[in-house]
Amino acid sequence: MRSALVLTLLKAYWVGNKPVRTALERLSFVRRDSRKGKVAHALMILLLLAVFVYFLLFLGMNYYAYQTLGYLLDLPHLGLFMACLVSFLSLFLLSFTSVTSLVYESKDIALLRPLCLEGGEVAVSRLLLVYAYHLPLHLFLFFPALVVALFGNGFSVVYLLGSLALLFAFPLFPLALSTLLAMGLALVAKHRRTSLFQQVIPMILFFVLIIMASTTMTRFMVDESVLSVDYQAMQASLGTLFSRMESQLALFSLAARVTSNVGVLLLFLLASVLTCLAVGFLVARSYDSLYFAIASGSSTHAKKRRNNAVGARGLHGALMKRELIIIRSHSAFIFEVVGEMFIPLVLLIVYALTGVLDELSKAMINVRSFVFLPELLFLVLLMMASLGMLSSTSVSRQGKMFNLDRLYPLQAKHFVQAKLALHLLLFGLPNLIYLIISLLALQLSLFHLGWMAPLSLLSLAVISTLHLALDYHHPNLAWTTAQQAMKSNLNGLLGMLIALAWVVVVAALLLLPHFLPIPSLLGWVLLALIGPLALLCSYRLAVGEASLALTR
Amino acid sequence: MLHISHLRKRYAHAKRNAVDDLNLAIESGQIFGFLGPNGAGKSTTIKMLVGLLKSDEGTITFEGEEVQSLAYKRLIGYVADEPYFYEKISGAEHLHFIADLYGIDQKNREERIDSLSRTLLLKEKLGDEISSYSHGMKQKLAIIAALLPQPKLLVLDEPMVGLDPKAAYLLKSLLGDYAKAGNTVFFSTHVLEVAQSLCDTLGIIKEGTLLACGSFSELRGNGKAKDATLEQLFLELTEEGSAQ
Repeated sequence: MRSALVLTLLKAYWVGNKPVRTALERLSFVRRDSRKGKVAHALMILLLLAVFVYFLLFLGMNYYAYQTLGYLLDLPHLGLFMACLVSFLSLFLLSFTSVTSLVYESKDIALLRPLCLEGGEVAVSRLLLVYAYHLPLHLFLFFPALVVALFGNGFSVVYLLGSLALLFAFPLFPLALSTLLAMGLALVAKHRRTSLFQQVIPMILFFVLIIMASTTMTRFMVDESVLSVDYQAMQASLGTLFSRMESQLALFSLAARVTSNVGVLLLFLLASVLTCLAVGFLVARSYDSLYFAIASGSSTHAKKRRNNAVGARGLHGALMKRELIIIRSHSAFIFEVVGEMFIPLVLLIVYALTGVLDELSKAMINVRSFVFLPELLFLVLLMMASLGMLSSTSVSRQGKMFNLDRLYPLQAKHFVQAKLALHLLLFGLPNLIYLIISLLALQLSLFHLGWMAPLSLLSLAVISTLHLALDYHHPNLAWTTAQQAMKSNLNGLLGMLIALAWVVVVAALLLLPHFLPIPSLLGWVLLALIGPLALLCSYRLAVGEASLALTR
Repeated sequence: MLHISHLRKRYAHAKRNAVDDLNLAIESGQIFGFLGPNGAGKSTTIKMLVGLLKSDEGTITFEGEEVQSLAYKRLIGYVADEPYFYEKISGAEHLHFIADLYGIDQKNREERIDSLSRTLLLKEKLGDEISSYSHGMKQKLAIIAALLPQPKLLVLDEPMVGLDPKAAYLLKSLLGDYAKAGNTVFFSTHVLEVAQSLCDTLGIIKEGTLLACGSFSELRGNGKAKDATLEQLFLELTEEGSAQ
């Protein structure tokens, strides 16, 4: 093993792809050499920094709550324990989705394989890349817990060394586990498609983890404030569970005590080094054979499709079908669609698992007396249907194939109409179904559908066309992994902000007449005026941006 | 000498072998042209030759070294049909990266980079980021990178695609000079005129099976095909293959 070459490989990948610079470049919506562009770029960075700081504080407050609960339960390291648990699960699930592609399938492997390099050298450089890619997430999730631990236990040399060990050595464990599992899956799968196990299921689990974590973190807040927590309720509800977890999850218990005990610190470092060496050795030794197994399986053998895959569909039908084919081409896209379509169901399951559903049922007794319950129900479901990134990354998803759209003898409006129609089909229809089920469950009149159905479709159409305008204005077409087109696409985040703004406008017009001395008719009249006008304007904007993008 | 013996490869879920019992022996100093219709098995053979794929059966050796070994890799250079690069670095940085991997000292690497980039008319563009290169420029960069470690065997997959006429002419001369120096060239192409004028030996493959192998005159034989062009021979052989 020539370590200098491993470092050269690592440097070449990093310098050659410049992931940080590329990500920062994506923040710029207008030319950065112009004054307007510089201001927009600076504002965007400030906005992201604000979001970053907010989440750091949110995490810190929650770790603080767990730390305090830990003192009550005689588990003084509970804050760090929870940080270990959250970071481990997050890193494990996210790295499992990308480890095979990064280590064995990345495009640059085809450049490296014929060069005078040993398989082990390539393998170790790829493992270091896996570590480098996931370390920032771990630092983000873990750093607030260390600050909380500092407040609780005070500063010492052991704390400093332990913190460094937790920040930089702890990620080795989840990454080692995901790497070993990915290797095992590649061996077991024997050329079969594994995207369901390796992409879709981990992403669903990660999504469930986020909802469960946020539900658990917020349900004990008093008056919706992150600063006041009902520790008695927390102790009664979670005390036994945490005590059991602390005694059974040895790795996290050990890691949580690293900042206060030299012996534990040394043991933790030893375990980290041994894990690192063992996984490095296994991956390096098996690299060539696993690489060949994966390469042989991913070849372009003939794949037969059913005959009904082709056939005349008309212009809009063909474009909608094309959109579905693009979605089906990557598991990351499929996950997004399925996730967005079934958010209410997923929430229901998670709430049932975490016990929140019981509390909600009790709360419903009071909520039923609200005169604005139908409006509230409508807004909650609208929020769920619109807070997605499917239409705001629709153009980006096309990638380099977008050039084909420039060649087709079609007008911009055809593309916009097809994308809009598919969006309404995928999300408008399920939203109507959820509305009907909710009305029936809450014993509300189905006559409410008379205003809910058109307002729901109108709102989704406005949001979707605004999303399309945004994505046509600044599409991310030069992506190499599907995640870059969707999850890492800033258009998705901005699209959600746009959706939120629209939901706030609708909420204001629907609910304000219940609280202010305004006739409720006024709200409806304003909605009837603003809604269609907004749709007309957003549609024209989307078509205008599409025209520019197609002729650029 | 490049020796390919009983090479066989079948992809997962495929109904037939991509390469089926391929045998080749190519002397040093020769230019070997590998011809065949689309999907014939040319690229699969080349990928096995450079270690991107592993054969199910058979052996590949060059100068006694077995494929996949570090000693073998030191002897070969490879130009892919669609070369991959780290796009955010310059052409010069890419070449220095390759030189680092092969341990080429500073003086030698600069001389070679200078000479090769002048020959292929890429000298002025080496400082530019690779993402700004055209397909032809990337092809030239891949050829320079492959030749930089002075390999004994140069393997090229469709090297003429994307090259302008002048660059194609320069590449042909470069390959000719390279072979004259005692090195071996193995390349696949669809441009039959190039194959006919440049290659010492030709191999025609279809559906993984080698249909014919030999010099152009050997392929023509002394019978009714003795005045045939390579194009006519190719069509005749591959049509016969289809009929069988």
